[in-house]
Amino acid sequence: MSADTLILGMTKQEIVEKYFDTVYRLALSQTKNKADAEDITQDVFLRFVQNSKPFSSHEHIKAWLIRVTVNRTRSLFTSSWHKKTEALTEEIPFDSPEKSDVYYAVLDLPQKYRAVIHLFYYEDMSVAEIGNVLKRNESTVKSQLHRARELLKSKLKGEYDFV
Amino acid sequence: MTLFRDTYKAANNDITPDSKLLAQTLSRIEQGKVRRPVPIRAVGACAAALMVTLGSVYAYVRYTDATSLEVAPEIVKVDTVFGNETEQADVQEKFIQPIEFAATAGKASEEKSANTDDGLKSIEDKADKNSTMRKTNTKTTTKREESADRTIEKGVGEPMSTDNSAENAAVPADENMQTDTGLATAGITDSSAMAKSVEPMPAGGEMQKTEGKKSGSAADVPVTVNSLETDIAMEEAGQMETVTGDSNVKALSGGGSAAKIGTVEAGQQEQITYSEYCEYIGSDLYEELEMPEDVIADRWVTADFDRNNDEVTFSYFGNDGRSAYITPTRNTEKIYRSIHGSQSDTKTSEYAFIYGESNAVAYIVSDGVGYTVNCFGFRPEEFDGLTDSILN
Repeated sequence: MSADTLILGMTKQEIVEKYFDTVYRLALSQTKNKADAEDITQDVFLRFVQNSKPFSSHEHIKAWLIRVTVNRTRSLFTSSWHKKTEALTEEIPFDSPEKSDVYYAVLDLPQKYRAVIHLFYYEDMSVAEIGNVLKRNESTVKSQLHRARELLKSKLKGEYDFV
Repeated sequence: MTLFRDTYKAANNDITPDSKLLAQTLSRIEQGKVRRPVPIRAVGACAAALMVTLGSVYAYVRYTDATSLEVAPEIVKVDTVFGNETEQADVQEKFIQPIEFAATAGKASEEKSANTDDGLKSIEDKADKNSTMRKTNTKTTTKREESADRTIEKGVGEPMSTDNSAENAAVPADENMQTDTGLATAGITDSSAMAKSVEPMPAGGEMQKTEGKKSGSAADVPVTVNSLETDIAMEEAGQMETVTGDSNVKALSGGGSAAKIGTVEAGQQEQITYSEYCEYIGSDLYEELEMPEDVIADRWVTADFDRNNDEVTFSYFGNDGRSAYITPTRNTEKIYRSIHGSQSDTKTSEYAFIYGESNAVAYIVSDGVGYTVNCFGFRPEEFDGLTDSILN
């Protein structure tokens, strides 16, 4: 499929530009490593260009990109290469300590909680949407959100309201 | 109280991917290069796989050389594959080809029949005469099934302690034999292995010619066999030589008063006299090799010879089980491989000597001829003298 092919009135290039940050940020929150996040981001969009399945809406595209990103992250973590290598710990600069505290508190969570928190609080997805994208039961997503919040509360010492 | 959502969003909004990354991705998409560049780790994995493959091939080549020429297997296991005697007999009949019936003087020529089947029968007949404990083939089948894993250690000049039926059998001390362990070791997965069968080898001077690997003499190598014929022949022989693996055993006609029955695999074989062989190999080994006084050659006069596989083993036997086997070949490449693969302190590009406790092995290439030398019971100076005579 050509890059110029229109999908829901947009070229693939335009779609890539639109969701590039979304995918990269999700990948970074999952991998905690810029290089891996960049690898995954590129791979996701190259797969997107190669993908021949039709999309019914922009939400569908976004959900597809998020699912592929999460799946690619899982593949990375389960690969023998990744198991044998030590991820570089890179400091991500923030302009305020609050942002840094919150962001690194999320990064400290187990991976399955990170995805749920990121999609819920950053992408503003509902529990049902998250369940659909991650192929998890809604109840599972809810319980994971609950446990993740409890962990964050203890890390952030109750300074934040988790609405 | 601050909202976690707002702070987390603000933090994420501060994170922006490298602008080059987007440009690079778009560039690839525009150019239609949707194939992801091969990551360095994939290249590394491929390289590692290639190395492993090459290493395996190298190890295989080296291992086969080492096992066949340097290291005698401690135990050769019996692998009984025939369910019954009929099957075995059928296969043997199919593959065994009598090739030569030497009509030389000596009483053995009358005892040995003119074809392999008769030869086998003659073994059985002789076995029956020598010991009531010995069994017929039919009985052996049962025994073989009962003791499929038995191993037999045979020393030169000693009675074989094989199974109960063969114990304490009378052993004519002046006979040699040849044993093919292809039956025992290869599990008869290759039907060609069946072409090598147990042979009664008469008195006098016969020797073996091996295409494959010779692992040493019976004096040093425990041997396992799985047929009564082999048991009997080994008992009668008093000494034996083991050929392992996919060896192509060929009998050479004896000189002097010897008669022989030989089997060969189908191949491009010709009868060759010793003088013709000397021309081929470029030297008269019986004259040129320097052996200890008590070590005498089992001379041969004619041989079944295959120029594509020209290994002919010259056997020498001395007192106290001392023996030597020299196998010349024009296929120097094989010998060079053995030299290269050998673990020896005494090694150059042209030769390698491996000294064991009771044996010594040499791989030598001299004047375009490769030699594999196996000596058993030789003193170091005797072994050196022999190898010097080859090198010079």
